[in-house]
Amino acid sequence: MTWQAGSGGDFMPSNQTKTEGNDDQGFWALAAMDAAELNFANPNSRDTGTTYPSWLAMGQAVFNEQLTRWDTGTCNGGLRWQIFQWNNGYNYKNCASNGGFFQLASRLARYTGNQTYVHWAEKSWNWFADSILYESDTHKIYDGTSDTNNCSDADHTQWTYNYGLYLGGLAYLYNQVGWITLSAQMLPED
Amino acid sequence: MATRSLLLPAALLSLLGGQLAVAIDLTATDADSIKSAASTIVYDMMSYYTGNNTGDVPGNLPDPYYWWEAGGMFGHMVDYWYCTLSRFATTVKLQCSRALWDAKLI
Repeated sequence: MTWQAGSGGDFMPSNQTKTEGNDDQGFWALAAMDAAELNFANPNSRDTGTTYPSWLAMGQAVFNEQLTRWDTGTCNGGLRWQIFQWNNGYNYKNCASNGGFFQLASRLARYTGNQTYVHWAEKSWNWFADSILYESDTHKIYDGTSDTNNCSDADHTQWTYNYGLYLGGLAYLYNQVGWITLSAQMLPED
Repeated sequence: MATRSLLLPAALLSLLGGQLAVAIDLTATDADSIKSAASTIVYDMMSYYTGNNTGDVPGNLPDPYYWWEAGGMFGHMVDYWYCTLSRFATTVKLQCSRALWDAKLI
């Protein structure tokens, strides 16, 4: 994991960045959060020339970067799938990217208690819940939507990992302000 | 605390789906059965990993696996490590492994 975190400790290693999506970066950040939360030993160096960021620092680095990519220019917010504008899919705002960011924010909120993370978890949830990606009466989660038509329709493919990202993020927000309201929106009454 | 720490995304069903075509016997109420099944799956999952070979890249999976799937895999390895810590009582380990099993993550 440390190797893939790269020189910036942010999971943007040069071997991957040409086609790296926010979702790709997100999955690695969540793995780093696993390690932080479960007290897996932080990486250290046997030589004196290199210091490595902690697992928590890696998660925070990804959060801070993805925050700068929150795009209010179209569709009232959300992250784009692709990081770089030259890649296909830059117009697509998808659940893998946004759900990953939501869960990362939730887990950082739980781990640090820092209200900035709570704020962004709620903000990213609200964007998702208000979007075409979440169907509140059926609780379905659709894969993504394009800003070329103002996010007015969705790819209706349902991937289990999208459900997992959002459900997991809600669970990690347990006991934070607003959790009950958010979860009530997500979980079916039956 | 252990079970709450394991509120994991079901993000990686797709990692395992279709790749493990063997049937694994499991008695979900038996600690030894869970440990045995989990270790089989983890062993098989890690057989896809070549990054520790000389000249290969640590942390990545070979084609056709995606980079993000490697991220998920290593997250699960951390979870599995946690479940097997010897300082935990067997009941905690069982709950831990069972949670991962129920989520189809191991």
